[in-house]
Amino acid sequence: MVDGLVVALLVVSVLAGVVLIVEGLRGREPLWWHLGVAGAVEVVLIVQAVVAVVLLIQGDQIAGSTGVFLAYLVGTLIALPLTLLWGLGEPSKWTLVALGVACLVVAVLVLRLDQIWAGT
Amino acid sequence: MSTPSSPRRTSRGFGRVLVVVYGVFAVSASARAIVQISRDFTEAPVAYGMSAFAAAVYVVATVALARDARRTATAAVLIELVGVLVVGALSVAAPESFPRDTVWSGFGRGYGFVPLVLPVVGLWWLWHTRPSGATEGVSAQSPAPSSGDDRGGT
Repeated sequence: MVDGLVVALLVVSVLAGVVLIVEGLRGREPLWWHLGVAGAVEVVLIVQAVVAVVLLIQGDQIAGSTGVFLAYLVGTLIALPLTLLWGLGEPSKWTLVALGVACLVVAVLVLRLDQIWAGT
Repeated sequence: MSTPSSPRRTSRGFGRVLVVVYGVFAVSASARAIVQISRDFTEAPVAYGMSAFAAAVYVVATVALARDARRTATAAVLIELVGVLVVGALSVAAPESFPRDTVWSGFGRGYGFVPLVLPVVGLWWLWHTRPSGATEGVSAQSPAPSSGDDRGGT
């Protein structure tokens, strides 16, 4: 895929994950800037999804399975919104920890996406 | 300051995080099983069947923990613990019986051993949030009359 984008996503999602988990474990309640941090990750994820789809339409070939790739792509897009929805069912410090964990999961999904694209 | 407010429901507090992790495994294990079985089930029916079974266990555990269905959650988490130990041991001792990876192969090595840790955390959480039962009150540190808390009881 686009290497710069993958690296940026990994940095942003891991950073966001660590910040949110630390904030949560320090006992902070969810604040708007926390949602902004998760939102920033989501924005980059959307950019990645758009770029990936455009590349596919332009004829780029995925080394691995296209179906699996698209499944992972959808997974990266819905992970944070679903976690936020679930977490805000009971706003607490654990909402932030859950969101942080989801950011780390997103990082793993992005890694897998890149591997499927490259066929490694 | 604010104590953990002794949450008695499995979906509250830390349970919020636990359900997210279980949900991730429910989704990824299901997706994996669907891909494996749809490609060629006969290639490795035991391994692929176990993939599907593991996925079902994660789905049940996720829903049960999220909806405070304590008994169902306990059963699912126990099955999950047995599953990861048995499949893990078999996949190491007799790799030919599991020619294709499942979530539980190699004790969940492919998933950073989270599948091995998750049921232990799940059981701890179910125990931690257990109903107070016969003892009155929900005091977090009810002092045990006997010395020490390692009396072998569960």
